[in-house]
Amino acid sequence: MDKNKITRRKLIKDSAKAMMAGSLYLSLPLPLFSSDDNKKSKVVLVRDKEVINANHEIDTAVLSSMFDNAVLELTGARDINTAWSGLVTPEDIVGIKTNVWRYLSTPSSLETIIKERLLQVGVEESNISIKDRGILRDEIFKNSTALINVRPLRTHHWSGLGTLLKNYIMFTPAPASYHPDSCADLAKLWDLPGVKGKTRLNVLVMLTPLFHGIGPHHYNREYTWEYNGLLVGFDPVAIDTIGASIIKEKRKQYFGEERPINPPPKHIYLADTRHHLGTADPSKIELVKLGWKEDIFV
Amino acid sequence: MKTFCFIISLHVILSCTMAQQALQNFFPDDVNGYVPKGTIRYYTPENLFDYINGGAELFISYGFDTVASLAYVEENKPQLLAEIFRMNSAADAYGVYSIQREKENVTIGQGGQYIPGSLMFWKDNYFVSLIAERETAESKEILLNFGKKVSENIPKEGNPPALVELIPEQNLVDAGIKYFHHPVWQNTYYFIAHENIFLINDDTPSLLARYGKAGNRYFLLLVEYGSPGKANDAYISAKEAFFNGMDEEGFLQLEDEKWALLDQGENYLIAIFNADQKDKIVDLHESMLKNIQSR
Repeated sequence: MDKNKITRRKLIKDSAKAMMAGSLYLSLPLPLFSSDDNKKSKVVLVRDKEVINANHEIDTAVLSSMFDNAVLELTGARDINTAWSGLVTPEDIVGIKTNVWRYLSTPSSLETIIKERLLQVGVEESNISIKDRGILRDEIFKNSTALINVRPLRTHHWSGLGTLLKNYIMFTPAPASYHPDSCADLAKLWDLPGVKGKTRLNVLVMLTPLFHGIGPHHYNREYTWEYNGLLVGFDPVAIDTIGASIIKEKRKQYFGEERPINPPPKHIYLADTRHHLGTADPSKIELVKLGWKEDIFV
Repeated sequence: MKTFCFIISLHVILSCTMAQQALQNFFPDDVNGYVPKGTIRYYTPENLFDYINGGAELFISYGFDTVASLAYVEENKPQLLAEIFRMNSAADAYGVYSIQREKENVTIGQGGQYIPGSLMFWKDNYFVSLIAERETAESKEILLNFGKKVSENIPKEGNPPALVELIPEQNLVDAGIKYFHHPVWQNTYYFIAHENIFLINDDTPSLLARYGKAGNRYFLLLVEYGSPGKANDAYISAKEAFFNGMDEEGFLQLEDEKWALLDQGENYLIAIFNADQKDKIVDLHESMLKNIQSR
């Protein structure tokens, strides 16, 4: 068997890769095994049954509380200002890289909450920008010293999933150049001069994720659900791995059988194995779950 | 040389104009009181990305020519969006439809699916998508009427891919066929490999088919090559990458105890995956060979 190719057989046979396979591609009953490497990427999943009301609107107060609890848990700080003071300084120039995809955009209420937290710890308002398209022309982003990466998780026609890794696609003037091999090397975006080393926090919005796409615009409300969550962490690969697992399980629940995410979101796997940006190995991810547990899928 | 370039440019312009003219004629003037809003927007492979971002790759992978997009409005009702994709062939229109459909539940065009707020179908070398801004009590009827009118305006039917005729029907899941000629779609039902181990490209029509009951599905991959030599190259590639250890007849029991098969015909590869019993593969393989032989 060609050892260089990643096939289902190789994933089944190689127990180390099987851990990633289990979370990303396959449903295998995998026993936990100990790793000699004690370093883990911490990911916080926070959910609240009340964050979306009966009119399908976001309760900003609940969302704010969720986000603060997640950041406190992630940082271990005693209060929210201490937590954010550990993430940014008053001298930072901060770009909040959001996502404006018309069918499932980053909630404006969450953008506002993030901005407020930055202001609370002394970042100048004139040094904060919230943007998706046009960041290459934005003076704040051009001069940024810090980035906050925030977007909803969804399936995607070509990359398999629209992830935190993919959210930095607007930092290149040629997004389509990252499309080959179903966007395998999106992790390279994180080496771009406008990005490298700047990300202080990643937030994968799991309030109403899209778990399946249909039609030219890849969206139908039928294929979203109120998961009511946020995934927060420093390692975008680890967060995207957890997000992919949730999507995979939701698809299984909805379709009543295994339905692989298609195309497979290989860019998450390769962000670890090829680009060493973070970890896609569940045994190296410390997942802390806060709040509502019903149908949590992980 | 200048004359040659001029002739080529003129040909391209005329082709685009003809494509746009054809598409324009498919949009109805009125559907249940809905009328067009604004003018038709056209996109080609060069600028489809500007319209639907990364979703453009889906259509480009199938041989896409032009899409026409037009909104429809009626007072106090949700807006409708009609998009008609002109593909390079009827087979490609079938393909781009098949890769997206979950079920076939409307008899519009040559096959269609409705889900709340959305209708899609194919006819001849056209793939049509109709979307309502939001689902209402009336929107289903409106979308279906809209679809019928567009379908009636497309003058003729086209042939689905020839390979579809070869797929055995026994135990085939309803709407369980995916047609493609780009390797990215090989993992649609079952993860096989990241790499293009079957050497699929624009010259290799390919089909995935889903069989059996939920919880015990098995999958057929059929790829047609331009020559026995190319089929053999793909056979060697697939054998080395995935089917290492198969017996002389091509059967393999994987480490998860599921059965698989790899077989090469003159210009074909047949691969079957994930059967819980070897007999299921044997039966499907035999049916497949019968269909190929009687072609």
